[in-house]
Amino acid sequence: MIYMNKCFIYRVITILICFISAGYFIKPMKCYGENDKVLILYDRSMEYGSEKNLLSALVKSQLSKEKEIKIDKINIDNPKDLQQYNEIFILNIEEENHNIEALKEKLKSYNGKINWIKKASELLNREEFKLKTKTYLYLDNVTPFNDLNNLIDEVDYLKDKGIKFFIEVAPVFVNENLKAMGRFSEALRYAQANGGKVILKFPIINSKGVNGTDTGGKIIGDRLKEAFKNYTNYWIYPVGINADEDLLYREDLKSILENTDTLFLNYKEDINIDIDNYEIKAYSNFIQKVDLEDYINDEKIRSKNAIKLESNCNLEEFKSNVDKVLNKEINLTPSTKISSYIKFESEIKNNYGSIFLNNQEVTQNRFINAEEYENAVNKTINKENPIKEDLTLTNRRLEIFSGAALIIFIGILIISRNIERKRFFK
Amino acid sequence: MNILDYLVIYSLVVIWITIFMNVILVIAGYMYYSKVNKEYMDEELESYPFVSILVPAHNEAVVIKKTVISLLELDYPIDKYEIIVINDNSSDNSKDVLENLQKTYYGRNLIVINTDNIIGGKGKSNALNIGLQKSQGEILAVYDADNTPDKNALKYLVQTLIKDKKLGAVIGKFRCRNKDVNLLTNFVNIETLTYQWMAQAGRWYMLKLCTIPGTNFVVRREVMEKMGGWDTKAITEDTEVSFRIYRMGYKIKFMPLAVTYEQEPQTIKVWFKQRNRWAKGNIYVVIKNLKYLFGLEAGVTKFDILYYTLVYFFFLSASVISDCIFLLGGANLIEVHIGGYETILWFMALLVFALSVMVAVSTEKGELNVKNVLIIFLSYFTYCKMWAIVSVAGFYNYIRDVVLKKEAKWYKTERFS
Repeated sequence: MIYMNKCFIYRVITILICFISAGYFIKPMKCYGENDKVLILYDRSMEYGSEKNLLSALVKSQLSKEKEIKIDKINIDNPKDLQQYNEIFILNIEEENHNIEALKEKLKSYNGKINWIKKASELLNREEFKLKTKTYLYLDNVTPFNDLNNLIDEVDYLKDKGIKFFIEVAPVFVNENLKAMGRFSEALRYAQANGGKVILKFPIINSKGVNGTDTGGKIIGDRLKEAFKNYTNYWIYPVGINADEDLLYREDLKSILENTDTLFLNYKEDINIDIDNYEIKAYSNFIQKVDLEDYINDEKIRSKNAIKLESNCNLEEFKSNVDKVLNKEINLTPSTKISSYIKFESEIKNNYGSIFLNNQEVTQNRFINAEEYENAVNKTINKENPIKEDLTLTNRRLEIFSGAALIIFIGILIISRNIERKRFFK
Repeated sequence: MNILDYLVIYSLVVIWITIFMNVILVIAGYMYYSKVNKEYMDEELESYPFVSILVPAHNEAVVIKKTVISLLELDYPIDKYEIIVINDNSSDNSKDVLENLQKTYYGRNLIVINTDNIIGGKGKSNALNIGLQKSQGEILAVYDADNTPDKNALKYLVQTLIKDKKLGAVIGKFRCRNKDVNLLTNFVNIETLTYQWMAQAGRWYMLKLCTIPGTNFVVRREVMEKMGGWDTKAITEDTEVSFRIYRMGYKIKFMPLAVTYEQEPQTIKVWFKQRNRWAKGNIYVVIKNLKYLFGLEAGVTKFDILYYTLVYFFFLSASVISDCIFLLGGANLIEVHIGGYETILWFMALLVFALSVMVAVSTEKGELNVKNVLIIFLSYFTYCKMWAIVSVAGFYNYIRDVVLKKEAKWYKTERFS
């Protein structure tokens, strides 16, 4: 009995050790499940004479709630399989819409919640439009042309105030080997080591194609990939993307935006949307950038907001802006409190502050200066391309030789076995 | 490329040359095994030359009785051989044991020479030389004091020797008597089998070249007298004598049907001391014979000079270097810049090693079993590394002895009851 008890105790201890070890070695990862899906049917995105885009507001409100969205214009062919949607929004602003009756007929079979919105006020006065669930601090407009000493001071100030923040960086895809890039990246690594999480800004490409169309998604996507790679090469690890609102509705950019689950959106009021049969994937972190004033006045806000602070200004002004935020007693969520991923060839996962590049942890808990970085990179380059003496051919010959020897030996062993067997039966 | 890269290339080249040579030797050894299996030995000889069996013994009371009795029971006319036990400055009761045996086997040619620390106690070579002076046989046989030869062993050795005038000596096979005592004796058992079927049988089949193993061999008296007996400075007198026999124009043949059983070291300490002596002794022999490498008289022993040089100087150093680089590289303390080296090659080396040993072991009835296969694989990571340490220590001791002008000390292997 004593022995049985001992066995039981040992088992319990072993299991506990396994659990504790597992808990120690395995970092918590957020699981991404299937999100809710909503359907938005609309006939017009804006009220007549208004500049407020209701469709956009509705889309953002749903994206903030981590919903996947399908957008369709109201017409007689509206979706057949309505049951796949958790909720349906009908933005029926046009007074006379001949398709409404047919739609109503179709919706009879639908069991979920249907939200009919006929006026802007019905939408904008909804409770969810006033709700602020999370608020982050966002260092805006950081480029290699900023005063980098000033940037360091800004980071130090935020650190002194105990603020973990996001820092938006412009995509760099030309002259990435210039010394200036080395200095810029050093400053960004400093930010990373002191509570900053990097957000990659969408490239601003103003040029038009020969036929007057916008620059294609492929070119933009390539630029973004290049910028992403460039930053990771400098050990800067973006954890999300920043994009203008209107880009959400560009079919050619959809696949690029789907490379991340964390999107910081630049508000655009006068956005013009004319889309049909369009889907937007769910984002785990759909965060709208807002000015402090708008935030305080409950303007342009979503459930998740990032109060943007201009980085490219003098330090005193910056400090004053930070102090304003703090004086308003806004409950700032640390940038380390999100889980995210972004993937352009290589993948970065941000697991509540721990950064993984292609599943290898690269979290920078201390500042890596330019010299240390250079030494480490040179070491890596030497590791990757060190081969001055290649023995591949010799090794191939050795493999053939040993293979032949092995075949002969196996043959001999078979013969020996047969001899031994004969001896045994004799 | 830095010094480490050159060391990696050095160890790769040396290790694979050794592997290549051993593969050839194992195959040749197996061919000799097949040939010997078809040979029939004469159970009766037309004439029996007189044989003097020399048994050097220093503090061998634990095993000497069994050895002498087994020698007395050899299938050889009792009036045609004498047993000379050189009780070399023993401090145990060897003398009493041997005297009792003389009384028990009164009338048999059992001679016991007791030496003191003035004329004796100077090692095996000196003891053999004392025995040589006292002996009468035209053929000399040597057995270690822990041996129990098969009844036919001496007859087969003599028969092989007298059939071919070109043979200066014939060596038999030795088996491990205590192989199942512990893991170490299991390793030694496999090692001895491999050595004999690879190095001895393989070299004999290919080059008519063998090395006297120190026990269970016969040698013509005239040969030993011409060379002035055993070299007392050599602590591996057997290897040293082998080189001289070849330089005299004779050959040494391996006759595996003449079997003796001997006791192998059962503890690491004893094993280390014995192997350290071998390593040191063989380094002495290699250096002594290096000058013959370019002369004509060395004949096929040039191969042995090269083989021993390869094994004791190059292979074992390469093995140590390779292990050190592997460990330091694994700990990220060093990095090498050699491309194309694949893990498969290391795996192939391991397989070639294991299968070559298995082939050697398969020549002995019942030895190729699951247990031994596991031991072979295990030995690659353990026993072989122990050998590397022994060789480094042996080399160090040799250099130390040369620098300090110390006289080579013959370590007598401790026996177990």
